[in-house]
This record gives sequence, C-alpha cells and structure tokens, in this order.
Amino acid sequence: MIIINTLGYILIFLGTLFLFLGALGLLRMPDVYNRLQAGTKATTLGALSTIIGVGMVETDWFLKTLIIAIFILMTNPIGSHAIARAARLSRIAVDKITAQDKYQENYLNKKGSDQNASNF
Amino acid sequence: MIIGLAIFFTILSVIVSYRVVVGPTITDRLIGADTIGIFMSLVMLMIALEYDIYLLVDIVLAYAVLLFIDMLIYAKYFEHGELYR
Amino acid sequence: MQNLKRYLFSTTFFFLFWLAYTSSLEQSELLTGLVVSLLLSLFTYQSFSREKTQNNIISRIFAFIKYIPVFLWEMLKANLDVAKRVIDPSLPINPGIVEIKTNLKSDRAKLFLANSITLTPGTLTVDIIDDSLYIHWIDLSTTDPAEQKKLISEKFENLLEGVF
Repeated sequence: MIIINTLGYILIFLGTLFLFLGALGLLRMPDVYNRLQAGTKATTLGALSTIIGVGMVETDWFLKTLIIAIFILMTNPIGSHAIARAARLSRIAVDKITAQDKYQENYLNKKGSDQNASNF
Repeated sequence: MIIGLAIFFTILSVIVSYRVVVGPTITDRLIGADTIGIFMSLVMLMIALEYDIYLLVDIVLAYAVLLFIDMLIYAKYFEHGELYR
Repeated sequence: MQNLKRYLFSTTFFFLFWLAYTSSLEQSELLTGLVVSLLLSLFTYQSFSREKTQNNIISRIFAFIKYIPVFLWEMLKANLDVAKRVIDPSLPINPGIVEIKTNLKSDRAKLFLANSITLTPGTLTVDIIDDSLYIHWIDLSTTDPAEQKKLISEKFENLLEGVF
C-alpha cells in the first residue's frame, strides 16, 4: 500500500513538471501551431499522470480518476485539432521560419483567396 | 504539500493568462483558455485530495466535459464566424 | 435481430461504464444503473454501434491492447522532446505543414490515427480531407513524402489496421 501511495506522489510531481514545461512552451514558441504542439502534448501527459497519481494516493477513487484520465486523453487532442483547423482556415499566417506549407498549396489556394479571409 | 501544488497550478495559470491577454491572434487566446481550464480542474482535484472531498471528483469530470464542448464550439465559431453553416 | 444485438451491446457498455463510475455494488445503485442504461441505449444505439458487427471482436481487443503501450511510450518520448526544445535557449525548431496519405478507411480509425499523431513527437494534425492528413511538423527533416510517411504514421497505421 505504501509503495502505491509513494508511486502516486511521484506521478503527481512528474505531471506537475510536465505541466510547467507546457506553460513555458506556450509562452516561448513563435506561432499558433508551435504553441499548440507544446501546449497539447505537455498538458495531456501532465494531466494524465497527475490524475492517475491522485487515484493511486486515494485508492478508493481509482476507477473514477481513470475515467477522467481516459476522457482527457481522448478529448484534448480533438480540441487541439479543432483549434489548429480553425486557425488555418481563418488564414492566421504561419511563422516566417516555416519551411513548407502543403495545406496552403493544396487546399486553401484552390478554395479562392477572397472568401473567409481573416479579420482578427 | 498537496495544497502547495494547488497554489503552484494557480500561479502557472496566472502565467499562462499572459497568452489570453496579450496573444496576437484569437486562437492564441483560445489555447491559453484551454490550458487554464485544465489547470483549474487539476486545482480542484488537488483540493479534493487535500480535504478528502469525494464530491469534487465528480465536478472535475463535469468540468472536463464542459471544457471540451466549449473549445469545440469556440473553434467552430471562429472558423466560420457563425455557428451554423 | 441485428437491432436487438446492437441494443444489447450498447446497454452492456453503458452498464459497465456505470459500474466503473459509481464503483459500488449496492442494490439500489445497480438497479438505477440498469434502468438508466436501458433507457439511454434505446435512444442512442443507432449512432453508438455500427451496422455490421464483426465477429472477431476478441482479436480486435487484443490488437487494441497491443497498441496501448506503444502509444504511451511514444507520448512520453514526445514530452521529453518538447521539454528539450522548450528549455533550449536557442529554440531549435524548423516547422512545416506536410501532407500524408493514409490507407485507413473508417472514420473511427482516422480519429485514432489523428489523435496518436498529435500526441507523438513533434507532430500535430491540422486537418483531415478524405484520405490525406495535413500535419504540422515541428522539425521538418525531409521533404520526401514516402520518408515522411515512414517517420510519422506508419507504425500506428499497421497497429490500427488490426483494430478497426
């Protein structure tokens, strides 16, 4: 029992570390897509490991925390696709250092450039 | 110790709110809001662990569901400029 | 007959979910859960389960179990990768949006593939149009499409083909 509790605390602290790095990445990255990269990955694994850790510290709650963790694991990437897609469709520009943009070439240019232009 | 983590998450969400306030485009603000939402649900979970409140775990699940639906609706709204198309 | 099978499948799923969620075996809890899952699956079984249920459900579950550890390991690697890039003062990124063709047919498989790609090192799915995925890659190391496919999605496609 004490081993499981210790493991839970270790998981909580690891999750906190990843969440901190995610917040740092959100501030440092140059454009929307790179921010999403850092933000999504770090918050998903950080939240996952923190929530499972809580379930291991308080073992009665384990199944419920497992459900929350699986829910976040499934939905957080979907939310980030939605945001990335919205950003690209409303033509928020990629950063200057971006080397190649197939989406622009294959899809956005065909749709016609005047409609749906970004005014944000 | 656990309540210290809750305070740490609150400080992190204050740091991330820089993106919500300053963020050059609307999607930056969305990403910041999403991250703050996850931090807040973790704060709730930490409080539940510290004071042993089982009810708050249910509220965390409901909060996560609402956060997901919020983000989808916002993303859809800012993609088209209107909700139905 | 087919409909009854689908109805019972979704009822079982909802009831198992209820069991995990309440995590108690009291009689009143079980009864409430049974009634709620029967009622809920009456309205939702058509969208919840598919038209043609395949028989090899056991092998699909095993394939899914085989997929989980690979996914978790890739996710851990992704976080270490992001951490390395964020901590580095010079911010070593070289981003680009690339297009990748996928062989997976069903929508559910594509959803899982997109989620896996988002959570693995340095990649983020931007959009799915028919059978091509548009992926934002933080470190564009090659411009050859076949090489890109090999690096990003091949591992998961092979695993997910057994599941869906």
